Amino acid sequence: MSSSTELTEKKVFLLKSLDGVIFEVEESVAVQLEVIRELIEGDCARPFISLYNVTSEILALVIEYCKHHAETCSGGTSATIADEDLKTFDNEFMNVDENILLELCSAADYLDIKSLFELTCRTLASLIKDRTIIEVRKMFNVENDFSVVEEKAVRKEFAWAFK
Amino acid sequence: MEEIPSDPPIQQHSKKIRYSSGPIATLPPEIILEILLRLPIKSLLKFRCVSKSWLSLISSPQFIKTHLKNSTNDANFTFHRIMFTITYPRFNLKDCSIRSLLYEPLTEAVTIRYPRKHPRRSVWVVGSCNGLICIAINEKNLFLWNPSVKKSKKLPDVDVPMGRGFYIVHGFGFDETTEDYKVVGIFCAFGKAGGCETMVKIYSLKTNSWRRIEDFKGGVPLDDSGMFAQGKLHWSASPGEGFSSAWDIVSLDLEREIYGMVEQPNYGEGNFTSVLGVLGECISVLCNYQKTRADVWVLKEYGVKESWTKVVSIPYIDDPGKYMYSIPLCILPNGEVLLALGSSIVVYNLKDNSFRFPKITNVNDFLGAITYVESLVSPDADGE
Repeated sequence: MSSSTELTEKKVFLLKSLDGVIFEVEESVAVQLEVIRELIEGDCARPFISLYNVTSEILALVIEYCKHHAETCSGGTSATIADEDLKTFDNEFMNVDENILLELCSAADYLDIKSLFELTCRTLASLIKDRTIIEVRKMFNVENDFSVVEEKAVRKEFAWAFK
Repeated sequence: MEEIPSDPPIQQHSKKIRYSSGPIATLPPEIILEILLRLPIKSLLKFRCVSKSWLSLISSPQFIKTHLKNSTNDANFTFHRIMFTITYPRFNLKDCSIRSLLYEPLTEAVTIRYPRKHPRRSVWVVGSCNGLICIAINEKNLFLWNPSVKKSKKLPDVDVPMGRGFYIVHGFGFDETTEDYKVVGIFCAFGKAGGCETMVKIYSLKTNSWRRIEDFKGGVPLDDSGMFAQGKLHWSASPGEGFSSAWDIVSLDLEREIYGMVEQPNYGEGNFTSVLGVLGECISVLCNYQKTRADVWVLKEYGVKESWTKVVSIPYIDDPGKYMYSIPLCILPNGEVLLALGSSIVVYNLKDNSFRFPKITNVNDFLGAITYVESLVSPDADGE
């Protein structure tokens, strides 16, 4: 961030999480959240925005992600270096607890941050791809509504996929 | 969504992180769908057993279509594989993932089971489309086969009298308008007068039957399978009576079943031989200048002759001229071009003009290599 821009007053938004914690973010970061960008474009963005579906723990992470992406993209570095940098950052950023990952995914969807949504979906997919049926049911809270006979029949059709 | 705070406690970038102690967030179905759309085929086949709703979701035509589209459009070819046709010492098919070839130090090709597999029965890969592969066993027994789900369907025999001097040229593609997979067989015979007579039959998966259409128009098709792009099959065809090195590109529209001609660009000076292929969604021609280089041309906008573009020119390094580059299997966003040279796989980087040779085991000698995308598409018309 250069000193010349610091002189001009930066537009700042206050984002309030579900549990009442308030985060101050610059516009360049806030616009990464599509929901907020739309508010700004529609000229109905107030400086204070409540986000009812995101806890402070998750919102802090979301802001960290958006901040890094905003800085990398606006920096003077070449596209290839910026790309590499984002890739490294994304990989490290995804190195979190599974529940956090699920919440981040849900928050990215709610806040409409396309790149974060894609990243979390992809990470979750690679996380579950080798899991067992039982583990997946538990993770996504899905009830098994097959009878034993039914499940056996479905399983039999592609039995090799379970090896 | 908004409110005016009386006195908001500002906390910058949350030094004090609160840990949620509640139950795990249950994701709504539309997010679960997005995650499933990014899974490989094997996992999806397994997760059909999670619940009835997961089974019906994963089996639904809409899901299959969206998953296919996502996988096809993945710029890094994460869900694409290469299938090698092996004829020596025995007929065989093997495959490996493109991702592994590009990023792993060593890739092992997998020997695969295919319909009517037999070491002495010839196997010819006609083409691949949407994850389905059409193969010809002993030239005339055709199968539609999805190697990712390990399902296949035998096509009914086609009743064309096969005399001496006959040869068959096939083609496989998809008619988007009727959502139907079609196989075309061109039966060529040299008549007593010296000319070539053709009979053309088209198979539709939806009707599961062959039907005769207009005879081949535009010369004599050369002995290679049709290349599918833009809803049409394309063959290189010799315009005259005899076989010369110059050939035309003859197309067959799979929906309207009419023939056409694709104009070729001026390839420039020099002696070269050329082959027809498909690169991504485009018709492509590789011009081979022996021992020096190979130029890859792509018809960027179908039907517009001026849109032929030379996308890459690949030099031959230390090559005695024994082998020829293939049409690239894929070109990646980072400028890497994956292609075959004889029985090796080569990665050429068009940005810095460098080569690398991915290590691959269990494949020594292959005759041909094609790419296909992993998909859930069923080789049966009425779903699974």
